[in-house]
Amino acid sequence: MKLYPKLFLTLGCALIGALGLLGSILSYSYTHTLRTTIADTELTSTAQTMTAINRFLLERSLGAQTIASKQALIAALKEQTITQPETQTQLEESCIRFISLTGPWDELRIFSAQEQSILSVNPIGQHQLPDDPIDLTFVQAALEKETLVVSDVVQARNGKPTMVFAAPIKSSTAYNATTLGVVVLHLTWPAVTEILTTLDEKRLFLFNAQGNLISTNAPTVSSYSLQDTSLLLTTTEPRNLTLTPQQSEGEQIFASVVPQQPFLTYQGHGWKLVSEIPTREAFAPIQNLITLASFTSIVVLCLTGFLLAVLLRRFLVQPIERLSVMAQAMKDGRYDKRTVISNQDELGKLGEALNAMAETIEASYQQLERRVQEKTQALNTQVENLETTKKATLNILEDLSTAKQVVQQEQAKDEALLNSIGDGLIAIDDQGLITYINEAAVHLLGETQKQFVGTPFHKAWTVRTEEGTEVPLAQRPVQQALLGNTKVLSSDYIYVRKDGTSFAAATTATPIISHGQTLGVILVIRDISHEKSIDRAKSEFVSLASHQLRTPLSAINWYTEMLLAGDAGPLQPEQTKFLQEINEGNQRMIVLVNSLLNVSRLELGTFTIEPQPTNVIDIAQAVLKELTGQIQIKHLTINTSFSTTLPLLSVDPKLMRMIFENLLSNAVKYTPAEGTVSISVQPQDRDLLITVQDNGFGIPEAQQSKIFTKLFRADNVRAKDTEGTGLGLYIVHSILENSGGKIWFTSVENKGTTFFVTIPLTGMQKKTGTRELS
Amino acid sequence: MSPHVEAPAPTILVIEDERPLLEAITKKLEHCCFEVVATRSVEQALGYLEDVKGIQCIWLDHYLLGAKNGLDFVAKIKEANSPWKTIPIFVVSNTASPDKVGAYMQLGVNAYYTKSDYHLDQIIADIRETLHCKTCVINPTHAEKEL
Repeated sequence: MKLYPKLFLTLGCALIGALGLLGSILSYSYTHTLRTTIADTELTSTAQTMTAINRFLLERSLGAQTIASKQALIAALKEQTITQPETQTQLEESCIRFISLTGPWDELRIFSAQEQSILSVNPIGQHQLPDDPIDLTFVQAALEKETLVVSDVVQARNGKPTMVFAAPIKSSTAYNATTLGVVVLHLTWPAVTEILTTLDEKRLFLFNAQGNLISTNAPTVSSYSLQDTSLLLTTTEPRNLTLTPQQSEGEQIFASVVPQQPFLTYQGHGWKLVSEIPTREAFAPIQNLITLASFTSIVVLCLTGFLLAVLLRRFLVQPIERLSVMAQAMKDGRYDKRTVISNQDELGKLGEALNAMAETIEASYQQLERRVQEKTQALNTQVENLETTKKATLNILEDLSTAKQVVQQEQAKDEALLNSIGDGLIAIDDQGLITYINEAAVHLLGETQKQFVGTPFHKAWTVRTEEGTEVPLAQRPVQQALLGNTKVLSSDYIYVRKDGTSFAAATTATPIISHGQTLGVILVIRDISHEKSIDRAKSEFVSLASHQLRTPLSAINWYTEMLLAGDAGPLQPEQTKFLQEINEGNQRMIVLVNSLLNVSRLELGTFTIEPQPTNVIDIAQAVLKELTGQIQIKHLTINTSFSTTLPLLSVDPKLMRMIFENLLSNAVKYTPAEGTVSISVQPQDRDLLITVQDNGFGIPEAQQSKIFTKLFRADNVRAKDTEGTGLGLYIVHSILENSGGKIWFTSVENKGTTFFVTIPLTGMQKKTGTRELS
Repeated sequence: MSPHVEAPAPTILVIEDERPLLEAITKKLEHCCFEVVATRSVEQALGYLEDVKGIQCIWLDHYLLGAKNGLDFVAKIKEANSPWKTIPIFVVSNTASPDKVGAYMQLGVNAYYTKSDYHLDQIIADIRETLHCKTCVINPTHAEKEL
């Protein structure tokens, strides 16, 4: 269904509903009011009829009393002349006149106080009328009550209904006046029916107090609908009744019942006046009104619907249809179409926006088309270029493929190289995860390559000290290299495999540093169990050698000591001299043995370097002090140049002492008397520079290359018979070689020698061995 | 040259495997007014400690006769319930490896000497000082003069 019928139906239904509801409310309200008004009007009308009847009867009562108060009549009765014919004739004429004035009466009759009928006339002038038996009753009542008596409807002697008015004739108006007679008047009853007929067009029914119908304007009494007289008997106030078709034996009847009320001096007889009218007839105006209202509503509804349809179409549907057509056109890509703007409401603004949008899109579309053309052109160019590039790329890919093969070959070579290394090699990333492990390392650590790769290194194996204590993670070489960014060498630890077996390992953990960031560590690991056992054997050898060599020297030493001390008795001077020679020779032998043992330790690599904060200058001065005796004997001049700002250096003090002892003792030993020995200890760049200079014998140039060899002594000093083992410089050279230092010299024979020693200001490198040098 | 006796001689237990050295030590100590109990093995030394009352000092070599060495001996007598754990021990040996010296010092010996580098007088002077010993005074003149 399209928008228009939808809107029309929706608004139409809403309108019909609203109007229906409003009509119902108004209809109910007006109908109710109208019904009440009509009912009240009906009741009032009936009551007015009842009042008219009462007024009629009151007027008749006054008429009767007026006749009774006529002086001529009173005089005739008082003077008892009424029986006289002339008087009677005069009275009859007067009474006829009275009847016509106060009537309508059927007849007038005058009774004496003795209840004797004296005179009777009717309106047509007849007199001497026959007596009516009903009169006496009311005559007696009037005489007795001495006031007007009005009967209910009674049947006259001719069988017609009538009402009897009996008025006493008083002698005067005084309170105690004598009743002279009674005037009796018979009412002409049809006059009452005429009132009903004249005053109301409805059907009226007058009932007496007993519920008997006494008068009606209806053509027939049977048309009376209210058959139930009990309603009449119980009604004391005016009221309306609606009689159902069952009650009224026909259509629904609307009835009004008005009881007779006393009216001025007339007391009434309890009559009830009933008016009847068919309900349909009574409320015909309402029905007419409803019909008219319904017709009017339909007409208004139709007109409104028509107007609504026109307005909807004009102001809503047509603009929307135009917008729809516009949108459809845009959907189809026809952006040149524009919608008609009929007004400036929201739809008008929407249409304007749509037109503007279409213009924009059209412009954009045109621009886009231009760009597409341009781009297409550029694309075509690019495609051509791409073809060229493709060819070039294919060439590059070929090159890359070749390069890849080369890389793969190189990788395979590297792999083979790494796997062919005898030492284990493990690559560990910055998170401590193993990323590569070569076959040697796998063989050493006893797992498969897959089991290691991706595993944290500290879980892949355990590290213990030689005493069996597990090394904490922070002290493990790999971790120290990772965190400290320095190469960590170690040969002190035992590596324990997962199966519990172990081996002594020498490791080098080298951090991989790029742009100042540690990317990981390369751990080179070697099983040194065999070397360790060899070391132990070497140590045992040196230990035994030192023991075996020193023991006889100790015996000689101690026995010579005791002999010289006189423990075995006094010695001859020559004996003492010989023993002193023995003792000196023994001391030189001890020095030689100690030197040889030191050489042995140096060569076996079993000596220890234990750096500790040391004042190097103090050691130099102490050694100089120890040489004071020899210096003084030779009258040597000693020049010293010691740095005043040199901090404590991390060096092994025993080795440092050996260096100074050898260099200074050589300088003193190989400088002739009166010579000069100079020592300088100064920092230079990153090193400590020790310079020991003498102006002694010097070293022949031809032998300078052998100066640091074992047991070498230059020819020029050997010829001078100086003491010396030929091991001192060899030992110094070896110590410095093993601790990160350097030694060199300049020498000119017979002019002197200068030894230069450098030790890094960072100190000596620590070395763990089994022996100290002595 | 005869010693001048001033107080009862302290007893010293000398444990040295080399017979000539043992004799030299013994003679020198006796000359210096010590009562000397000499032995060449750990087992015998422990026996002397049991049997000889009043041993106040021990002179100990490392390598000894028998299966046990000087370290075994020191470990034994330095045990918590040992009655000799307070006796001063002077180790005099030619076996001067750092680990052994460290081990002796850790066990609580008083001093370590390399035989060839020290005179007997030097060692005995240290022993006397440790024992606060004034039992005899060696006439130093001759020995020191000669040396």
